[in-house]
Amino acid sequence: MANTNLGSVNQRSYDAIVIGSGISGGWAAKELTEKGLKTLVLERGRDVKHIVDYPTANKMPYEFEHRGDMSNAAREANPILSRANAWQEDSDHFFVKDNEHPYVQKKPFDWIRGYQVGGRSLLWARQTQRWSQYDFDGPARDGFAIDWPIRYKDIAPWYSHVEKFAGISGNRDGLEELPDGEFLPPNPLNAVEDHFRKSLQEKFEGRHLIASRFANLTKSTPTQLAQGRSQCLSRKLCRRGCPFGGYFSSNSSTLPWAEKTGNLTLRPHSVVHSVIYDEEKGRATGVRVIDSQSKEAIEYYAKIIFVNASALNTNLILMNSVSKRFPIGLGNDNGLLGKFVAFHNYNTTIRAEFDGLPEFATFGSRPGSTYIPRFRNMFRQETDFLRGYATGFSARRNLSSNRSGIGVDLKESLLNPKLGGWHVGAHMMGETIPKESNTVSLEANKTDSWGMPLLNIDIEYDDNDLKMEIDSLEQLSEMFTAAGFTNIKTTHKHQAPGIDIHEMGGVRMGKDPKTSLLNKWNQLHACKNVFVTDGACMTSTSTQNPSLTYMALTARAANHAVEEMRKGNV
Amino acid sequence: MKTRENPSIWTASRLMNRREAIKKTALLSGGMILLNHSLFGQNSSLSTPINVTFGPKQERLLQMVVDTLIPKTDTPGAKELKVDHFVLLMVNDCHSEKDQTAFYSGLHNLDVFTEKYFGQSFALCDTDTRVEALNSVNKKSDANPELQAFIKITKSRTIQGYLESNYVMTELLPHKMIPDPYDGYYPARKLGGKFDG
Ligand SMILES: Cc1cc2nc3c(=O)[nH]c(=O)nc-3n(C[C@H](O)[C@H](O)[C@H](O)COP(=O)(O)OP(=O)(O)OC[C@H]3O[C@@H](n4cnc5c(N)ncnc54)[C@H](O)[C@@H]3O)c2cc1C
Repeated sequence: MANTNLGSVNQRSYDAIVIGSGISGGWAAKELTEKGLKTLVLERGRDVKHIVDYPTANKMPYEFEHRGDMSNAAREANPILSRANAWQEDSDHFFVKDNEHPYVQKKPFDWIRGYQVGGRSLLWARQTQRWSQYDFDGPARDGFAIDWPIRYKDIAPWYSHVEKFAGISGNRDGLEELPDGEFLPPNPLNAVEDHFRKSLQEKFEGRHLIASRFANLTKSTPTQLAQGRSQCLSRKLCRRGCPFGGYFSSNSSTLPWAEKTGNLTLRPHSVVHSVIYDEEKGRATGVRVIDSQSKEAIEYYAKIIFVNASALNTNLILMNSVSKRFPIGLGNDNGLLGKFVAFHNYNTTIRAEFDGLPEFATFGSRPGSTYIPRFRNMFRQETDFLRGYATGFSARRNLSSNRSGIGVDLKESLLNPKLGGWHVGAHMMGETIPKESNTVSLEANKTDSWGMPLLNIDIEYDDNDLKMEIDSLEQLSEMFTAAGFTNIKTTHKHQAPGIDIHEMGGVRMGKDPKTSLLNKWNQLHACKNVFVTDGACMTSTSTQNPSLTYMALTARAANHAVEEMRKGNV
Repeated sequence: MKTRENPSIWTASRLMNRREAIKKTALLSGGMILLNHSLFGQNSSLSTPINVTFGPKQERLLQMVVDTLIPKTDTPGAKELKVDHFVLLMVNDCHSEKDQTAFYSGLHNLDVFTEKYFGQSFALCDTDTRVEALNSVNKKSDANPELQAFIKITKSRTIQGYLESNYVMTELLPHKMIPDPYDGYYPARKLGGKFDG
């Protein structure tokens, strides 16, 4: 990759700039470079090279000093991060520490970040369900937020496009509410998951349990082999980075692919400060960067700019991009930049035991689990809250040992674990309603070590969320009971928003420039050569894990951008 | 989001592949990561998080406790695998202050307890008496609650340190970095399931 240093304006000019190298930025880079655009990817964090920079990938459990646990000292230093389950000794190096990148919490918000080449694509749990027409229709039907400017049919081919390349495993379930995609072989269900599936089918109309769709290669097709990625071995150590490229990350997939075109320049340690707006030309001409190591300010120029710094950081960059034409943030003519931020609700879990199917157990390992698409208010409004929740579910039967003894008995028992009973567990994934009062803004008087203003996050749950949480526990308890599960235990958490790690909105798409920031091609209405295709663009949140939708929107917008450039429109 | 696996739970494949043990690790390489602290020097004292001495005497006592919990048989026990180092490391680095206080004062109370009920210090008790002593800590209502907490913490960390030691994970219950393919309808009886189908 070319090494960019301060050079002439020419040397600092590209066809396209992509801000951020995470899931969405990686896709922008792939599409733009493949179409022949000289593309500069600016990433604030350090470089993480596929395989070489996965230091823990092949470590045995006993090679971790605390066998995975984070120490008290680390937890005390990172109260926010310590609420993320995935933060462990093996993945520590991919998470932002609380004191490294502070932000202001007007109300509690756990902002979990990964600042490095690859962003959080290294860490994600790889659940990849498509949205359906009912999700895009949602705001219009139920009268919240604003209407999406696109429909399922607009994005469907782009879902296929990204699924084929990334490699998504799944079953063709034929459900209207969770459309099928281009799938690699599905994750197998186990005996009790199958039992629960059948029980739902018999006793509850419209509730379906399916194999979850996820970005691990249950098979490596020629498309992934060409990326140097082989079949997933079910090690379930994804968050360390996978030496086999068994799951999709920017590092294993889109970035090396973009690099192969010869059109990519990747510049780590590059904090994008703002987008440069040229008042005369009436368009964005580049970005201001602060080199995170030298703290030098550098400008880079391009014809089009993709902002993919992750939802809240994209808001921050745009708000920080002020000019005479845009005094309160780039493209922010209506003052809605930073508003209508939303997220997902994971506040309830439920677990139980099952005495049935004693003749079966499970053996070996698999990368995925199971999923129940939203069934509440799906085809019509039927409860006193809006929208609904999807559910993650899994059943397991473990070997464990009696630990009551002491001495030789205990040792014997530990070395000869016995098969226990079946345990099942589920968690909700709720849609939240974007509201004007859920906002992010710049904290004017506080800046970070790079001179960037801190983000002030002012976001909270509402009554609709609470009703949905209660409903999820009632409904799941009923579904568990009907399946014969016993000893049902529910947990109603009251965690702060953010820990779902699915933050969205603030730069929403819409038809009308008066009520939205982006058009149906993710272009800023008021500055058409700037594209926002990460979570910031989301008009509503639906229940599905969002990253697949960011990928599809990004690929769609990037291809449109190239067409428009060729026509001379941007 | 994903919830973390419980490391204390055995997966079927781990047990089933015992026979395929990779015999590459020398028997007594131990495998516990050595502490940075200089606490195991003969005369040094560990500065404990609370104001309780932890010197060579306490160190030996803790070693005897882990040895009693998981003794040497035809295979090494917790003492041989230096699991006492692991217990201390975890208590100091990962437990709450309340646990730490209970752990260190509980340890000091062990001799008081055995002297009262067994007429001698823990060190002087024979193996059977040591087992009985540890077993009875929870049964005696007048036993010091901190001693009970000490036993509970030490036992759970000893079990973890033993099962997750290099030796056990390579020689006795080999941990497979590459697991077997998934079978969700695996016959329970093949795993010695108590309910035979
Ligand atoms: C533990 C965990 C589990 C998850 N599970 C799932 C899941 O199962 N399914 C799912 O869909 N999603 C999941 N997610 C969320 C998923 O990771 C994010 O939705 C996704 O990574 C967002 O992509 P992105 O490109 O917007 O941002 P990111 O992947 O976060 O990347 C943004 C990049 O931009 C860089 N950046 C930020 N600011 C600047 C700046 N000023 N200048 C230059 N660069 C900048 C950052 O350093 C980062 O590298 C999970 C996340 C975590 C942490």
